[in-house]
Amino acid sequence: MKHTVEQLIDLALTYRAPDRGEVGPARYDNAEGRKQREAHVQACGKYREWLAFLERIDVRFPGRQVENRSIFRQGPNTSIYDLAYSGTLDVATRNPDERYRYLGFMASIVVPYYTVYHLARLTDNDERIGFVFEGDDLTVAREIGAELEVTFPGYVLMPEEVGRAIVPGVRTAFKVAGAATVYDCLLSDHW
Amino acid sequence: MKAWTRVALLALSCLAACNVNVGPCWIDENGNGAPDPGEPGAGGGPATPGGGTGDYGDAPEKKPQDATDPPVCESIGQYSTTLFKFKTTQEDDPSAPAGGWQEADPTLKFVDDRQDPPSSWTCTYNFGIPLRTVVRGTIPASKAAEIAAEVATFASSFTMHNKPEWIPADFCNQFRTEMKKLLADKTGPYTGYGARILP
Repeated sequence: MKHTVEQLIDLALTYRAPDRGEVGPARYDNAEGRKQREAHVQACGKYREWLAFLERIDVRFPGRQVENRSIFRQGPNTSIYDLAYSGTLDVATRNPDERYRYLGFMASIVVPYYTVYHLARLTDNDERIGFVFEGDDLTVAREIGAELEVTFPGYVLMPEEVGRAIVPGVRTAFKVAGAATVYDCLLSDHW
Repeated sequence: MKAWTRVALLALSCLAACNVNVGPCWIDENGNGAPDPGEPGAGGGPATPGGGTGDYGDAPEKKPQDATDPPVCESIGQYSTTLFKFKTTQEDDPSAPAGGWQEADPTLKFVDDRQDPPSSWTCTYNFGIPLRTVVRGTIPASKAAEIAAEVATFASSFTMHNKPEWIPADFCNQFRTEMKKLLADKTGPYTGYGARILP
């Protein structure tokens, strides 16, 4: 790790304004919002490399759908939905209560960290997210991680205990204040 | 029955339940007949008890119905596509597998008449969706509005009935989360559109 948890929380607070109840575009008319936009504009320059990464994953794992969740990052004038390049790769379900399952991956555009996780949508519509892999998933997750490190030189895996640390006083699209984590604030809360 | 079909049916039954006795569609919780519109009901969701002020265009106008001929409930509380005015923020790059981006910034009105007096509030958010994806091809603004309206309608009903009473800020957060879950559902009708939500 290149940062302590405390340093990452402090960094997250420079990109996420305290929740003051604003709605709409006014929510981002502040120093934190402008910093997000600067990061987004800079990150757009890496979009082609991101597409090449997705293509390599697609070729490496034929027959499994790859989803690009960062299409908005193609250009600078869009809203900023998160602070990561992110996507998913479909994998086989492992339990009868799973409707579908995928491996998700995100690489931050503001700190040199990435994560790989597995998510299962259950028959009751809940979601089960984990960061520990078994069997085939472990092999796939390692290959995705290796490809991310090629695409984003210098990046390392963010440990789960770091990513799950709470960033106090801020909310994201899907997390209320007091529940938003380092993952949510410096990568994405769109799991 | 496919999982998504079950979800859709649940949502539709929920829409019916939340509009019992509130006017625009007379249908009881079993889906039968026409209860007395004067009885106290269990309302909630996108329809307003007064039939809507027209401020947001999201509350269907109430029309008296013949009690012997219950109407089809397909229009109960559905958000109008006119609320979702998509603008292109990123032109499509045809050299990429998927491309372009369009966004709408709707403000939706909610009324919960399960309490007396009813409470009302609004949720403002951003709905973004590509102009073209690999799976769905070209997505015109009209299709984007259709998707956004459907997702808002389903998610509002799910969310409203998740708690007997809501604090507006909590509702809006949960509403966005439910929309995200619908959009991200890989076995649902919105998979492959690549839509994103932002407060």
